[in-house]
Parts: sequence; structure tokens; C-alpha cells
Amino acid sequence: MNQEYELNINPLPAKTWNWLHMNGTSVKSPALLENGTVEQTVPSSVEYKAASENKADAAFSEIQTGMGTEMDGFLKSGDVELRFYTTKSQTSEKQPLVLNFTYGTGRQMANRLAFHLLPGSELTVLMDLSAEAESCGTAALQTKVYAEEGAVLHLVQVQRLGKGFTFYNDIGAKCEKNARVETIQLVLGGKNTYLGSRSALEGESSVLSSDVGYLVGADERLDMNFVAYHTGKKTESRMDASGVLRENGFKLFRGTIDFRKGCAGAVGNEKEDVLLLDDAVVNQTIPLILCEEEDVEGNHGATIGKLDEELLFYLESRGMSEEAVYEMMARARIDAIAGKIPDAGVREKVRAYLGDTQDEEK
Amino acid sequence: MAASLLKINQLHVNVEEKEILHGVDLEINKGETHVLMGPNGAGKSTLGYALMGNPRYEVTDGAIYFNGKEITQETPAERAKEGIFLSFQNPIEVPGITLGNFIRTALEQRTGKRIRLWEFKKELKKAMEVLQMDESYAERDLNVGFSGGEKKKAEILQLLMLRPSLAILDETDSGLDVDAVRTVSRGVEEYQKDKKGALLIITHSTRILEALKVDQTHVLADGRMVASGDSSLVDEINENGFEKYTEQ
Amino acid sequence: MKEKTYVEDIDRSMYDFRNEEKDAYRVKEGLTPAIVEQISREKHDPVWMQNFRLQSLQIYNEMEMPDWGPSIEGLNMENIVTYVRPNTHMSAKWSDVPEDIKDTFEKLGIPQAERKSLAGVGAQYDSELVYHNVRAEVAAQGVVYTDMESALTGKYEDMVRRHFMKLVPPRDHKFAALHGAVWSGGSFVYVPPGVSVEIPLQSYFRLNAPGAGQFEHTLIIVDEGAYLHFIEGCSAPKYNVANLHAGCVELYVGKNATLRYSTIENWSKNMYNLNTKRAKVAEGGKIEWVSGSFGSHVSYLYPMSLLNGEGARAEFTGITFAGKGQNLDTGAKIVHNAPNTSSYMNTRSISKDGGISTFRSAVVVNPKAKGSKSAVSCQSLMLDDISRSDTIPAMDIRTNDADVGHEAKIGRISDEAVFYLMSRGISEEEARALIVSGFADNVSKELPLEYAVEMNNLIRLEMKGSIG
Repeated sequence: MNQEYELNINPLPAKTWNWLHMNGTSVKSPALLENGTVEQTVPSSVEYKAASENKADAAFSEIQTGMGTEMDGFLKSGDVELRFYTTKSQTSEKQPLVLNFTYGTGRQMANRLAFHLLPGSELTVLMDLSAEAESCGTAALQTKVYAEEGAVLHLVQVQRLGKGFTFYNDIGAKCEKNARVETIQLVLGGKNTYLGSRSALEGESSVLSSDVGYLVGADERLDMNFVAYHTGKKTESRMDASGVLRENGFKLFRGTIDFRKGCAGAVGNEKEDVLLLDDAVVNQTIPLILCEEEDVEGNHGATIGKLDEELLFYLESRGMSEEAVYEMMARARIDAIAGKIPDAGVREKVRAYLGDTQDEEK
Repeated sequence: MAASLLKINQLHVNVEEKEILHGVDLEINKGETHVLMGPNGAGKSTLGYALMGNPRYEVTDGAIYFNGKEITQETPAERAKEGIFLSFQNPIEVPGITLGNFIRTALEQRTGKRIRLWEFKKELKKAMEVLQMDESYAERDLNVGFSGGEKKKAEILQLLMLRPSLAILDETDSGLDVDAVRTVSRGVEEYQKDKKGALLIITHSTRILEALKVDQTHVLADGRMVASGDSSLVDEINENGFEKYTEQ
Repeated sequence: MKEKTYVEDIDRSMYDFRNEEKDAYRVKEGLTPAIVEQISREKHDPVWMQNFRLQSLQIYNEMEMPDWGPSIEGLNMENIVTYVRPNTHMSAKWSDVPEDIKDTFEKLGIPQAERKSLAGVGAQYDSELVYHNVRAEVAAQGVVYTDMESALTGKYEDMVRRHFMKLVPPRDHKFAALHGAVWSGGSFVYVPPGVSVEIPLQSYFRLNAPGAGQFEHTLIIVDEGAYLHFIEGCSAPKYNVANLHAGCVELYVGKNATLRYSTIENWSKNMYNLNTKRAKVAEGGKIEWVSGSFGSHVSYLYPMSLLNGEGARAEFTGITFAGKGQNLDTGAKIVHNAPNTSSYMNTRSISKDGGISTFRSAVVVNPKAKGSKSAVSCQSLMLDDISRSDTIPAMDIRTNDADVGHEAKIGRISDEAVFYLMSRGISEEEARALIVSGFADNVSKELPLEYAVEMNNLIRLEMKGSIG
């Protein structure tokens, strides 16, 4: 059934010159997808069920994701089951919901997740996406979030896939009044990583906060599309992307703050910080601010390339060579984001993956 | 007879194509404490940066010798390894690197040796006690979200841990309240007596100097050394200001 | 309830007068090989140019319309008259220019400006230049400033041929191809090595004929170590039918030379302004673009700088003011192709009364461009909630030895700033106007005084209104 065809993913919300090749990315659709292996720990207040599409809340079907409709349609058309998680209203769950995805080599796997956060609930979801270091394959993960009034979701994704993996990681969220979605994503492994993330801030004073950190090395590609879609009054978004490119690593970051009519009082901030360590890297950045509302404030900043001269001098003055400073700062970028992960175990996994040999004590 | 540690000959320094220092001489012997005073814009910080080798501060003429070796063309890292330390007036925030890890990495880089964690921790703790710094600061990202006083303390902490033979303190006391100044000077005192290190203190006030033995005082005005003397010069300037040095 | 400032639409009467078309020669509407051949014949093109036009037409027919940017559906080429020649010949004396045309330029202040502050002037009316003159002392320095047609058949033919549409080839995009097919008018400038032209040259383009297109070609070569400031102005009266402007500007900046290219664009709001500008900068050279976009119904305008020589620099300073019925898509493209090149982009855009302004840019740093620096800063101001303002900046960096910074801001006039000014006794209306003028200051201070005054007046007119 799933014949190979072209999928257009990560569409830029407003097109620009085609010669830049940033308007979207065309990929060959993965072949038949099987359900990915998940090991999960579900806290007591969260209800889990595996549901077929038609039984799932219609609200989820409408939630758009960062990768766009073609990927959404592709995943829906297959036999990938929808894993459905519902929180208990007015309950702040202290235990995290842990989802460990282990992808086998040579496999083509997919998972679809839906998180329904009932009013006033709070949940932390820790996702660990891993595969053997030398393995290859294809994996797709779609996460949809519906955060009702006052609900808070902390979503952590650590991707440490094998060298030959192609990974499609797609997020779509919808926030009601005072809801808050916080995502922390670390892209540490994999060959081709496609990351989509779109948050519809519909309810008044709803908030998106997104941090993504990445390491892109030899022959690796990272292609991202982040969208904060503001329709609610006084909504807030913050998107920070920070990473390191080495050798002939390729990275494309699309980040869009979209202020739609009616989002009076909204604020959007977007920041990108890329450290380029080798001469053959390719770094593409396209940060959009689209605006049809007067009373908003949008900011974007990007620094690409070298370290700030004053910073370099400060660190060198303490006796570190320029190379050592660059190495340290490359690592610092990831550590700064990893440090925000609210779970010591996950932080430890990140450190282990990065080959940390420091004799950490108890 | 004390041995020469730092010697500057007729140093000319440009910042963005404009000459700020017009031929400065200075000599500091091992273990000595020198004070550099002067009105705003005299070029005091420029001298500190030039000694540390900030690439924005271009030495157009003259030379800097450290331990008898010319270092005018050396990188900041090389100078640091040879024993020069500059305490910044405005320390830079570095997210992602904890203060503790940074000091340890810098120490390892300086010595080229791996440092046992527990020994390091013990020493760090001792130094932090001197500075009345909460131990939790070691786990915080370097200077990120630190108050002005905390930043200065973190600089002195690095000074104590890195054990340079010459420390240049650039306005380390500025913007601090009385208690903070006292704590910082306790740290400096510790460095002075314990490590037998030399000091070049760039300052416009005398608060930090109260507990320190000053060997020599220099006055810099308009990019030139206009006076040198013993510690009594500090008192004289306190009384009369810099006027007599600036009008000529 | 928050009070809103009611802003009137711009008073364009200073541009909106129109003349009857008298005895002018015009081709039929639309675009066919026969029409292109007819234009070529009328213009006494050399053979190579006629072939070039026909090839361009073919390319035009093959190419697609852009699938990005503002809609140009209202533009139907079948209805556009591509060539309208006024019934006169080009002259170096205003007294030889027909009365009504001379009047037009008098009203626009061109002869006055020429006397006061310009080294030379070219004035184009519809498809042909009606006036061209350069001060004797400038000509004596060896500076050539003439209309494209004379350059094409005179002793500079070779030079023109070597450069014409080499920077912007017809294949570049559909409207570049269109330009190649039907271009007419424009200026040719050559500044010899080491010559510094102290006061600016100016070309002014006036499109009077309804339903017509203007396709002037500007070719400027600033040789090694030379300096030139070139000013381009354009305007048209408003009609109910679509007019089209698809000009092309090609600038060659030699080694260690500097060219400043200033544009104040004031087309009427029925104009489709699909203009292409490009500069190639050699070692140590510098291109400075200053661009004010106020007119047009739809604009696609992104001057491009190719920094091909080591140490070449580009600066772009721009302001765009989109009012009612306007969709202005403006910005710049910079390509770093050589080591130690630097670029700096600083733009402001203002949207009001349903106007749409888009800042679009591209900064490309190629692997060869080691040690390059680029800084982009764009700010947008929304004056009401029926307008739109988009920022679409792209960066493509292909070396680690680069330093690229970008910042974008969007917002509104801060109530605190208005309050602060009002607390010092300034009316709210005046306070807002002051803030907007201040916002636009980055460009106005780059312009020669008279133009800065004109621009500030334009912005003031736009802001004029009462508190409702």
C-alpha cells in the first residue's frame, strides 16, 4: 500500500526565493512502517490507551504539526496505532511519563502519540529515542498535544540514534487559555533528522517555550521547521535553537513567529546560535516573523559562525587555547540545554552518550 | 634584591586605529604590589587588556617582557600559562559551563595535567570559604545571572585557584558595597601572602587597598605615566585628586 | 478603549498631475515577436541587440511566474503597452523639451535640483529620455553620462555589449527576460580610474502613459579607485489601469572604487514595480545602496550585491512605507564570494491602512569567503491592526570562518514614548509623527538633504490626521 513517493515536509509558512532551497524539503516517503517498540512507565494519574484513529478525539485530527499535512496524511494512512494519554484534571503529576523508543537496525518504524492534558493538569514526558551506534533504518515519531485551560506539559526528547538513521520527529500542539507547553529537544545522533514543531497558541495567555540543541557531524543533515502560531491574546512564544556543526554537517533551521489577527498583546522571541567548527559545514537559517496585528512584539536574533571575540578573550585569558575554548563552548551549548532537563537520569544518559569521561562523584 | 617579573618598555597601544597609550613604561618585581591610578579615560584598562593580549588592543610599538622573555606577540592563553591573570571589570557570562568545571578545565589546560576531582573540590571549597561564596555557585553557569558582586568574587576565586605570578585587577572594587569590597580584599590578601604573587591593581578608589601592603603607586593620565611613588602617593591623590596631573 | 490615530491617505497631488498624450508613438498592447521587432526597428538597434531582444522574449515565454511574493494577478501583459515614445528628441537644453513635459519635470523639481546640487541629469518620459546633460567640468574629467541608446551606437558600444545584461541575464527570472526583450531608455555612466565625482548624478523616470510599461536600463561602470553617487527617482500619476515598471540596473564597481546608489521610488499606486538591481564589486570596492520605497501597488525589489573581490563591501540602507492598497516586498541579497568581504544591512518598514510590507533578504557566504562578516538588522512598525508586516530573512553560510549576525524586531509605537513626548507638551499626533520620522531616520540621514526633506515630508503626509 505505502508505495514510495515524494513527500513535501517542513514547509516554510511564507515562501521565498526557490534558489535558496529553504521553502520546504522533499523526501522519499519511508516504505511500510511497523509500530515502533516502546517501553513505557505511566504514572498513576495518567490514563493510557491504544486507540484507532476514528475513536480518537477529533480535536487531535485537526492539530497541525510542523512537518505539515503531507507527513500527517502519510502517517494516518498507515497502520500505525495511536497511543493516547490523558491526564487527570487539576492534578499535577510529580512522576514523569517515561517513553523509551528503541529502534532496531534495518527497520522502518513509526509511532503516533497523543497527549490530552485536561484543565489544570501538569505532566512531564521524557522520551528517549535510541538505537545501536552503528545501526541504520528509518523511524518516524509524531506527537500531538492538546493542552486545555491552565494545563502544563514539559516534553523532553533526547535523540541518540545510530549513524545510519533517518528520523522524522514531528510535533503539533494546541494550547487553550493559560496553557503552557515546554519542549526540550536534543538531537545528538542520526544521519538525517527532520524536526517539525508547530504550536497553536489559541487560548489567551498560553505559552510556548522551546529549546532545541544539536550536534551535527560528518555527512549528517538536520532539517527543522518550528512554528509558533499566535491567535490568542497575550500569548507568548520563545524558541531557542543552539548547536554545533562539524566537518561537512548540514543544518537548516526554519523558525517562524506567526502573529495572526486577534493576538493583541502577544510576544514572540526567537534566537539562534550556531557554532561552526569546520570549514565544510553548511548552515542555513531562515527566521520569519509574520505579523498582522498591531499590538505585538516580535524579536529575532541569530549569531552564526565564530565565538564572540570578548568571550574568546575572556576564556583564553584563563589559559585555554583557542581550540580548547571552541571545544569547550561546543559542549557547553549542549550542556546548557541538557541542564534544563528536569530529570537527573536523562541528563546522565546524555552525558554518557557524549562520552563524558569525567570522574563524576556521587 | 627582587627579581624583575614584568617589564614594559615604551608601550604604544591602539584601539580601533586610535592611539590610547603613548609610550608607557612599568616594571614590577616578583611579589610586589603596584597600584595604577588615573582619571577616567586615562588608558588604565587599556593597559590591563594589552598586558593580557586582547586582540582588539593593538601594540604598535614597544615591548612587554615577562620573566625576562618578550611576550608582546603571545596569545592570551600563552600569557595565562606563563602566569598572568586579568580580573575583568565586566566578566563575560558563559552559559553551559559551570564555574567549578571551568576552573578545573582551565587548571588542567594550564598544567597539562589531569586533576583529581576530590583534591580539586577540597581546594575550591577552601577558596570559596575565604570569599564567603556559597558552594552552590560552583555548580552554576559561569557568571550567568550573577550579581555584580558575585561576578567579582568569581573572578577572585579564579585568581586563587589558578595561582598566577602576576594578577592584574581591573576595577575589581567598582560597584561593590562595603562588605563585598572587604570580602574581595580578603581574597586578594590571601593571594598576596599565600602565593607570593605580584599584583597590579587598577583602581580609582582606595577601599580595596586598605588591608594591602602597597609597594608602588603609578598615575596614568592621557595614556602616559605621569607620576610614580610609594604608597603615600595614594593618600595624596585621595586628597587632591588628579587635577595636577591632567593640566599641563 | 484605546484611542486610535486616524491617518489620512497620502496626499500625492505633488505627483499625481497627468498630461494628455499628444502625438506620441506607441506600439500595440501585448507582447509578440512582431512588437519586439517593431521596438527594435524604431530604436535603430544594432543587429546583436535585436537578436538579444528576440531571445529574451523566448526565454520570457518559457519561464514561470514567481510562486512566492505578492500576487501579480492584476497584471495582464496582454494589456500593457511596452513602448511609448514622446514626440520629441533628446536634448541637452530644457528649452528644447516640449512645454508639457518640461512642466512635468519643473513640478517635480528636477531642473532646480540640477542647478543647485547635481553634476548631471537624465530625464526619461515614458520610454525615451527627453533630456540629458552633464556639467562640463565633470565631462572634462572623462566621466561619461549619457542615455543607453547613444551609448549603444556610439564609441562605448563595445563596453556596453560586454556588460549589458551580463550581471542580470534574461534567464534570471521572468521579468528580467521581459526587460531584455523590450527595454528602452535609461542611463549609461562610466567613471574613469581615480576620478571622484564630487556631486551626484541623477536620472529621473516619469511614466505618464496609462497602461504602459517602463523598462529603462541603467548601466554604471565605476573604474578602479573612482567614486560616484548616483541618484534615481521615479514617479507616475495614478490611473485605473495597471502600469508596469520592469527596469534593470547593472553596476560594476571596480577595484577600490565606491558607488553609492540612491533611489527614491514614488510610483503611483496602480504600478507593478518588478525591478532588478545588481552590483558586482571588485577587490576593495564598495557598493552603498540607499533605498526608499513609498509608491507602487506591488513591488518586488531586492538589490543584489556580489562581493567578488577580496575585501569588497556592501551596505544596504532601506525604508519601505506601505499604505492603503500597497503590497511592497523589498529587501536585499548579498553574496560573499571572496575572502574578508563584509556586508551590512539596515532596514525599516512601516505598514498602515491595510498596507503590506515584507522585508525579504538573503545573505550567502560561500566557502571562498573566509574571514567575512555580515550584519543584518531589520525593524518593522505596525501602525494599525488591519495592515501586515512580514520579515523573511535567509542566511546560507558555508564556511566556519565567518561572522554572521542578524536581528529583527517588530512592534508598534510605544505608548510610553508617546506619553513621554506628550508630557513635554507635544500633541499626540505630532508625537507619533516624530516617532515615525525617528524610526525612518536611518535612511533619511543617508540621503542628500533635499531628498531627505522630501522623504520626511512624505512620511509626515502619511501620518497627517487627527485623533479620533
